[in-house]
Amino acid sequence: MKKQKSNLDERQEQTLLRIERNGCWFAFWALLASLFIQQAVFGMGELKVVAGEWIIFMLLAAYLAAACMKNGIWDRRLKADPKTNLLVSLAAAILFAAVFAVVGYCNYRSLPGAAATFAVLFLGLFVVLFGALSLSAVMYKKRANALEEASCDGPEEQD
Amino acid sequence: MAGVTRQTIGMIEAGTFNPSLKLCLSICWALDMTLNDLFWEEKPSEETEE
Repeated sequence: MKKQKSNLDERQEQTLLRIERNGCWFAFWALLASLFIQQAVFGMGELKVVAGEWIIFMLLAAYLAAACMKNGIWDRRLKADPKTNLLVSLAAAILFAAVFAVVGYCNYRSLPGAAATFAVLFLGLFVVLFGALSLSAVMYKKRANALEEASCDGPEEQD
Repeated sequence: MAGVTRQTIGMIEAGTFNPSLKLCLSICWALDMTLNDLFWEEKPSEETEE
Protein backbone atom coordinates (compact mmCIF):
# COMPACT_ATOMS: atom_id res chain seq x y z
CA MET A 1 0.00 0.00 0.00
CA LYS A 2 1.43 3.35 -1.06
CA LYS A 3 2.28 5.64 1.90
CA GLN A 4 0.18 8.84 1.86
CA LYS A 5 2.07 12.13 1.77
CA SER A 6 2.02 13.83 5.17
CA ASN A 7 0.56 17.31 5.71
CA LEU A 8 3.21 17.95 8.34
CA ASP A 9 6.85 18.95 8.01
CA GLU A 10 9.45 17.18 10.14
CA ARG A 11 9.27 19.69 12.99
CA GLN A 12 5.46 19.41 13.14
CA GLU A 13 5.83 15.62 12.96
CA GLN A 14 8.19 15.69 15.95
CA THR A 15 5.73 17.90 17.84
CA LEU A 16 2.85 15.54 17.04
CA LEU A 17 4.95 12.57 18.15
CA ARG A 18 5.61 14.37 21.45
CA ILE A 19 1.86 15.06 21.88
CA GLU A 20 1.00 11.42 21.14
CA ARG A 21 3.71 10.25 23.55
CA ASN A 22 2.35 12.43 26.36
CA GLY A 23 -1.17 11.14 25.60
CA CYS A 24 0.01 7.54 25.72
CA TRP A 25 1.68 8.00 29.12
CA PHE A 26 -1.33 9.88 30.47
CA ALA A 27 -3.55 6.96 29.38
CA PHE A 28 -1.13 4.48 30.98
CA TRP A 29 -1.09 6.18 34.41
CA ALA A 30 -4.78 7.10 34.30
CA LEU A 31 -5.72 3.47 33.59
CA LEU A 32 -3.53 2.31 36.49
CA ALA A 33 -5.07 4.91 38.78
CA SER A 34 -8.60 3.92 37.73
CA LEU A 35 -7.83 0.27 38.56
CA PHE A 36 -6.80 1.25 42.10
CA ILE A 37 -9.67 3.69 42.58
CA GLN A 38 -12.29 1.20 41.42
CA GLN A 39 -10.80 -1.51 43.64
CA ALA A 40 -10.95 0.88 46.59
CA VAL A 41 -14.53 1.94 45.85
CA PHE A 42 -16.05 -1.42 44.91
CA GLY A 43 -13.91 -3.71 47.06
CA MET A 44 -10.85 -5.79 46.25
CA GLY A 45 -12.76 -8.91 45.23
CA GLU A 46 -14.73 -7.22 42.43
CA LEU A 47 -12.50 -8.07 39.47
CA LYS A 48 -15.35 -8.02 36.92
CA VAL A 49 -15.71 -4.28 37.54
CA VAL A 50 -12.15 -3.55 36.42
CA ALA A 51 -11.84 -6.23 33.71
CA GLY A 52 -12.07 -3.77 30.79
CA GLU A 53 -9.52 -1.31 32.14
CA TRP A 54 -7.22 -4.15 33.20
CA ILE A 55 -7.22 -5.72 29.72
CA ILE A 56 -6.49 -2.38 28.02
CA PHE A 57 -3.77 -1.56 30.56
CA MET A 58 -2.08 -4.95 30.13
CA LEU A 59 -2.21 -4.71 26.31
CA LEU A 60 -0.65 -1.22 26.45
CA ALA A 61 2.04 -2.34 28.90
CA ALA A 62 2.79 -5.45 26.82
CA TYR A 63 3.08 -3.41 23.62
CA LEU A 64 5.45 -0.86 25.22
CA ALA A 65 7.63 -3.60 26.70
CA ALA A 66 7.73 -5.69 23.52
CA ALA A 67 8.45 -2.71 21.25
CA CYS A 68 11.29 -1.49 23.47
CA MET A 69 12.73 -4.99 23.68
CA LYS A 70 12.53 -5.42 19.89
CA ASN A 71 14.50 -2.22 19.42
CA GLY A 72 17.10 -3.01 22.09
CA ILE A 73 15.94 -0.23 24.43
CA TRP A 74 15.84 -0.60 28.21
CA ASP A 75 15.31 2.81 29.78
CA ARG A 76 16.45 6.43 29.42
CA ARG A 77 18.17 6.55 32.80
CA LEU A 78 18.12 3.13 34.50
CA LYS A 79 20.59 0.36 33.68
CA ALA A 80 19.66 -3.28 33.16
CA ASP A 81 21.82 -4.56 36.00
CA PRO A 82 20.90 -6.72 39.04
CA LYS A 83 21.39 -3.89 41.58
CA THR A 84 18.99 -1.54 39.75
CA ASN A 85 16.48 -4.35 39.20
CA LEU A 86 16.63 -5.19 42.92
CA LEU A 87 16.01 -1.58 43.97
CA VAL A 88 13.18 -1.09 41.47
CA SER A 89 11.53 -4.40 42.50
CA LEU A 90 11.81 -3.45 46.20
CA ALA A 91 10.35 0.01 45.64
CA ALA A 92 7.48 -1.22 43.46
CA ALA A 93 6.65 -4.13 45.79
CA ILE A 94 6.59 -1.83 48.85
CA LEU A 95 4.44 0.76 47.05
CA PHE A 96 1.85 -1.65 45.65
CA ALA A 97 1.69 -3.82 48.78
CA ALA A 98 1.16 -0.67 50.86
CA VAL A 99 -1.63 0.55 48.57
CA PHE A 100 -3.44 -2.80 48.68
CA ALA A 101 -2.94 -3.04 52.46
CA VAL A 102 -4.49 0.41 52.93
CA VAL A 103 -7.38 -0.46 50.59
CA GLY A 104 -7.90 -3.72 52.50
CA TYR A 105 -7.86 -1.86 55.84
CA CYS A 106 -10.41 0.68 54.53
CA ASN A 107 -12.69 -2.15 53.40
CA TYR A 108 -12.35 -4.58 56.33
CA ARG A 109 -11.05 -2.40 59.24
CA SER A 110 -8.60 -5.08 60.39
CA LEU A 111 -5.02 -4.02 61.17
CA PRO A 112 -3.61 -7.60 61.45
CA GLY A 113 -5.32 -8.40 58.16
CA ALA A 114 -3.84 -5.32 56.50
CA ALA A 115 -0.37 -6.19 57.85
CA ALA A 116 -0.68 -9.75 56.58
CA THR A 117 -1.87 -8.45 53.19
CA PHE A 118 1.16 -6.15 53.05
CA ALA A 119 3.60 -8.93 53.97
CA VAL A 120 2.21 -11.51 51.55
CA LEU A 121 1.83 -9.05 48.68
CA PHE A 122 5.26 -7.53 49.26
CA LEU A 123 7.01 -10.91 49.18
CA GLY A 124 5.03 -12.17 46.22
CA LEU A 125 5.37 -8.96 44.20
CA PHE A 126 9.08 -8.64 44.95
CA VAL A 127 9.85 -12.19 43.78
CA VAL A 128 7.73 -11.86 40.62
CA LEU A 129 9.03 -8.36 39.76
CA PHE A 130 12.69 -9.21 40.35
CA GLY A 131 12.32 -12.42 38.37
CA ALA A 132 10.57 -10.67 35.49
CA LEU A 133 13.11 -7.81 35.42
CA SER A 134 16.06 -10.21 35.54
CA LEU A 135 14.66 -12.30 32.69
CA SER A 136 13.85 -9.17 30.69
CA ALA A 137 17.37 -7.83 31.26
CA VAL A 138 18.87 -11.04 29.84
CA MET A 139 16.57 -10.85 26.79
CA TYR A 140 17.34 -7.14 26.35
CA LYS A 141 21.13 -7.67 26.41
CA LYS A 142 20.83 -10.49 23.87
CA ARG A 143 18.71 -8.33 21.57
CA ALA A 144 20.95 -5.26 21.97
CA ASN A 145 24.02 -7.35 21.06
CA ALA A 146 22.22 -8.87 18.07
CA LEU A 147 21.27 -5.40 16.80
CA GLU A 148 24.84 -4.14 17.28
CA GLU A 149 26.22 -7.06 15.27
CA ALA A 150 23.57 -6.65 12.58
CA SER A 151 24.43 -2.95 12.20
CA CYS A 152 27.97 -3.96 11.25
CA ASP A 153 26.54 -6.02 8.36
CA GLY A 154 24.00 -3.50 7.10
CA PRO A 155 21.12 -1.16 8.03
CA GLU A 156 18.06 -2.74 9.69
CA GLU A 157 14.49 -1.40 9.51
CA GLN A 158 13.20 -0.70 13.01
CA ASP A 159 9.84 0.69 14.17
CA MET B 1 9.87 25.40 -1.75
CA ALA B 2 11.65 23.29 0.86
CA GLY B 3 8.43 21.57 2.01
CA VAL B 4 8.38 23.12 5.50
CA THR B 5 6.31 25.80 7.19
CA ARG B 6 7.52 29.35 7.89
CA GLN B 7 7.23 28.54 11.59
CA THR B 8 9.75 25.73 11.16
CA ILE B 9 12.18 27.97 9.26
CA GLY B 10 11.84 30.56 12.01
CA MET B 11 12.61 27.95 14.67
CA ILE B 12 15.67 26.78 12.72
CA GLU B 13 16.91 30.40 12.49
CA ALA B 14 16.29 30.90 16.21
CA GLY B 15 18.18 27.70 17.04
CA THR B 16 15.20 26.12 18.79
CA PHE B 17 14.82 23.30 16.27
CA ASN B 18 17.57 21.11 14.77
CA PRO B 19 16.68 20.08 11.23
CA SER B 20 17.70 16.72 9.82
CA LEU B 21 20.42 16.59 7.16
CA LYS B 22 17.71 15.83 4.61
CA LEU B 23 15.85 19.02 5.50
CA CYS B 24 19.08 21.04 5.51
CA LEU B 25 19.78 19.85 1.97
CA SER B 26 16.19 20.63 0.88
CA ILE B 27 16.59 24.20 2.16
CA CYS B 28 19.97 24.55 0.43
CA TRP B 29 18.57 23.31 -2.89
CA ALA B 30 15.57 25.62 -2.60
CA LEU B 31 17.86 28.64 -2.03
CA ASP B 32 20.57 27.47 -4.42
CA MET B 33 23.20 27.66 -1.69
CA THR B 34 25.55 25.20 -0.03
CA LEU B 35 25.41 23.64 3.46
CA ASN B 36 28.50 25.66 4.33
CA ASP B 37 26.82 28.94 3.36
CA LEU B 38 23.69 28.33 5.41
CA PHE B 39 24.56 26.06 8.30
CA TRP B 40 28.26 26.37 9.09
CA GLU B 41 29.12 27.58 12.61
CA GLU B 42 32.48 28.28 14.23
CA LYS B 43 33.55 25.92 16.99
CA PRO B 44 32.51 27.02 20.51
CA SER B 45 35.11 29.27 22.24
CA GLU B 46 36.04 26.75 25.01
CA GLU B 47 37.36 24.34 22.44
CA THR B 48 39.33 27.00 20.50
CA GLU B 49 41.10 28.14 23.73
CA GLU B 50 42.56 24.65 24.18
